[in-house]
Amino acid sequence: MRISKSFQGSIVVEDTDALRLHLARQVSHWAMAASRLGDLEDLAAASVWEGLEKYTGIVLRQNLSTAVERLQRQAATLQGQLNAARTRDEIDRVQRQLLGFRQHYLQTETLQDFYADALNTRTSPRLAALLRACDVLARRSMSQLLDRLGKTTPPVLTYIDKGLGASILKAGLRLWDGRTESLTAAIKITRHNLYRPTALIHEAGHQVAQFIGWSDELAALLDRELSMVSPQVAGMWASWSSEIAADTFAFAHTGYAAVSGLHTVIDGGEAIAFRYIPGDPHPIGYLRLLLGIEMCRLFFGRGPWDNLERAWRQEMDLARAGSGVRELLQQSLPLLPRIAELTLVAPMRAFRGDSLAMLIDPRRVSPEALAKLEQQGGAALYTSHHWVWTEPLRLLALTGYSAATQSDRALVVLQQQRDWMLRLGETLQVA
Amino acid sequence: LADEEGARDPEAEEAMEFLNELYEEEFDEAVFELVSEADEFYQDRFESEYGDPLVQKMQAARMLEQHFAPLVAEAEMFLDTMAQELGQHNPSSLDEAAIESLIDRYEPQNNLSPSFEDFLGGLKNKLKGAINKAASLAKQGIKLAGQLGLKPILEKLKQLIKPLVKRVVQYGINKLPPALRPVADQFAKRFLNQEFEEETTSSEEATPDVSGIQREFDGQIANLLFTREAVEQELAIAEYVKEAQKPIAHDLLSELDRARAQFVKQLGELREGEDPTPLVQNFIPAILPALKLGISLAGRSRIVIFLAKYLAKLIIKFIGPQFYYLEIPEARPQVVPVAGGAPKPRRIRQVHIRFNFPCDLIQVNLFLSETVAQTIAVKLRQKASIGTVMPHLSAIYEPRLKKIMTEKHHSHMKTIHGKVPPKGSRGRILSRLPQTVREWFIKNMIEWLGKNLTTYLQQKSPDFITATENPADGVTLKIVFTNPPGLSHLRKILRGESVNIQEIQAKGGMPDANIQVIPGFNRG
Repeated sequence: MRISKSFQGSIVVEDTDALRLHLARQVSHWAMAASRLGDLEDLAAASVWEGLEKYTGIVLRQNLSTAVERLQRQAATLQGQLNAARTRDEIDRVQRQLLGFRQHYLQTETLQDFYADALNTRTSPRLAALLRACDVLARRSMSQLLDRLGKTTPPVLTYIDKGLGASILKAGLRLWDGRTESLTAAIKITRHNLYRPTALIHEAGHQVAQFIGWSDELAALLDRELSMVSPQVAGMWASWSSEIAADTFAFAHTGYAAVSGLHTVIDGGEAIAFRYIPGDPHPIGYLRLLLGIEMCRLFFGRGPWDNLERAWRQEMDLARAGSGVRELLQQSLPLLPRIAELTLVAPMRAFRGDSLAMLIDPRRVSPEALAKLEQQGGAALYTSHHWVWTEPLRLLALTGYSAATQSDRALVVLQQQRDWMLRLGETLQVA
Repeated sequence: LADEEGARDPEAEEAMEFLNELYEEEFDEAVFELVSEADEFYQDRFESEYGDPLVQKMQAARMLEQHFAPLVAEAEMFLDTMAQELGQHNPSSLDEAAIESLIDRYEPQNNLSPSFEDFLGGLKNKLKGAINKAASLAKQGIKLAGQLGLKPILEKLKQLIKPLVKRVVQYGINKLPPALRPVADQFAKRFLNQEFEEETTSSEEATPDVSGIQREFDGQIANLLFTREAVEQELAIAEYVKEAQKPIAHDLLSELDRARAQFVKQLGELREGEDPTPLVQNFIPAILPALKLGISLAGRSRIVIFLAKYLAKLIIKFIGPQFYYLEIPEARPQVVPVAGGAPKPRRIRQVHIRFNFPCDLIQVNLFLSETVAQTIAVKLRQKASIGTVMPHLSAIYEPRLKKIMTEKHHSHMKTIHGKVPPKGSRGRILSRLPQTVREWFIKNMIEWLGKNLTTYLQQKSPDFITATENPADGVTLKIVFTNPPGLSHLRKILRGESVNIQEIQAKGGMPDANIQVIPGFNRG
């Protein structure tokens, strides 16, 4: 530091040195902050980390550590540049880099906060076990397809939150810092759906569709096949392909339970059922449910979904839909059987020339197949770790089907669902 | 023992006597429990149709070492404490009672699982034997042990703990070190310049007797006590430690696992109507070495083609060409939740036999893992023919019964007999029986079990189904045979009385049997 005597005899620091001094304090502050982010125990208590399935915990820690290490490396570089800076230009450059570093820090913090919030929803051993069961269900649904296609299934971290619908932060995406790739699929399950988590499978369907390029191929297929009716209708259905793919995936794994679960979420009155927002990837609710019913009909024939359709059509009077939307709905209704066929039985490049139904056969969750499973497993179906480990998806389909068709046994079914999910979660080795 | 010229070697004789004294069946049992834990851990958590078996084994070995780390720490702490306490004494001044009391006083520093406790108990007994021998050698003043004192011996003994536990881990994941063979042989060659007869266990056996682990460890203890030079002690320990540190490499069993994984994966990719024969043809050559079919090269290709066609037909007939879902890619669950308690490891299927001569009973406890129990319950609920159920049971009891009766799983057998001390009550007692008698018993017990279990399942299937609906892990079928034919003759043989073997072989008839089904594991 250069020091000179002023005319009054007091000691002052020259301008460049003053800048450097304050910059050093700033760099030190942010470097320390970055260093503190490295302690993952500050993010979530040890007991929370211990509540994760071992493999998921390892991958998540690795993912978060990578993001923080990158930030810390940047801090070290910044510190080195500051040490080397001598001229005003060099100091200004460090100053600009510090601004970039602050931005990177905040992004990394946002990334960490997201996972901290997700992890900390595992507030009790019981809830941690239930969410571990959700992790298994989602992961298993993906691996049944991805294994066949030679793809690796990512670990899943499920967390619970308020609201109506589930959501997913897919594995493979760049996270908030723009550099770190997400290694886990983080799925939000809403509280009301914790014991009927077919929405998990819908979200897992999004992950799968992204991995194998299914949505784009389905969009092209729908556009091509439906354009003879109306290019506008075809375009509309094509724009919904990602959500249709996810719904189809959930149906293939859990059958009518997925359709019934969807009904619960979208049954919010005509305003919601008939809402059409161009660009929204979600199909108009009215059609979305009817498409699920067509899928049931395609694979299972007649059944309780026929009643659901009658009730839905009575409840949602098409005449009360806005005129523009009504026309789209009316044009779409006759296309539903064909759309169900296209999504489930049309061969796709994404499935290496097979159809989805060839890889995940929905007949395994037909009412008859589920009744057979119930007969085979008896009371042990919900208590034996053999069954809950080997057939969790069909158990989800079975309990969802029972809940949808036996409202008088709703409490019993709910209890069964909770018990086997707890058992599944407790069966996993935790970190 | 005699050298080439037939002269007796008292030192060699003393060493071998010491090895025999040191050997304890209870320690084998403790080792067996640890091996079972390791095996179960590996099979449940790692062994799967997917992934590289070698990688799985390496990962399993690392995790198992962590799993057994508390045991290693406790055993080492025990030896440290003993080194401090016994090191203060002159070996020649210690008597047996003082040694025993000092060792028995030691309490583990941490809570240990029952299997760890048993192992530590076995180690205490080993130490008692070793210290007594060291004291005796010190009194003779002829061996290094006497000159060095007890502390250095115990410190060296401590170095053997980690390799010993590594042996257990390797055994558990089917990666038995090739060096694991009767150590009396190595010991004699190295220190006594003697050649010993090979023991019955061949080093090439896929599942050698677990007692090899104890014998090897005992050999190391003997080495510490009987060796003449310090450098010899160090060399032997270094070799033992080095052997345990060898990385896991591809072996026959890994290759078999790899081939199987590939086979299952490719089967899963078969399309409707596609012929699986080419896949089977690729798979069979990979399994042939492991099966040790001993086929000469000339005959091999013909057998491959024949088996391929045969297996392909079987596959289509029984499984169908569409494989919806063959294997869960995730590691299988390791633990079973227990209401109000800590989760427990899953148990594997097993058989325990008890010959109770005073009561004229033979008791067989047949434990069925949860998967097997549920598979059988499904068939019973479907009213399937008992003929389709019995193979699931006989596949468990037949091979295990044979192994127990031929001493390979000897710790799964208990004998209650006036002439058999509790220490010798495990399966090795059967070595006193003539081969033909053993074979007769194996054959007949298999027949008795088959017939009685068939009747039981025909008449009491609801009992079995109810037991499988209990949340406990698996079920135990407890079969008690009363006055079984031949048991009185067996009792006489064990008493040392002469018996007409043809008379036993002429014995026929079916003993009375009582069968109970108990939820969970039960060996009582």
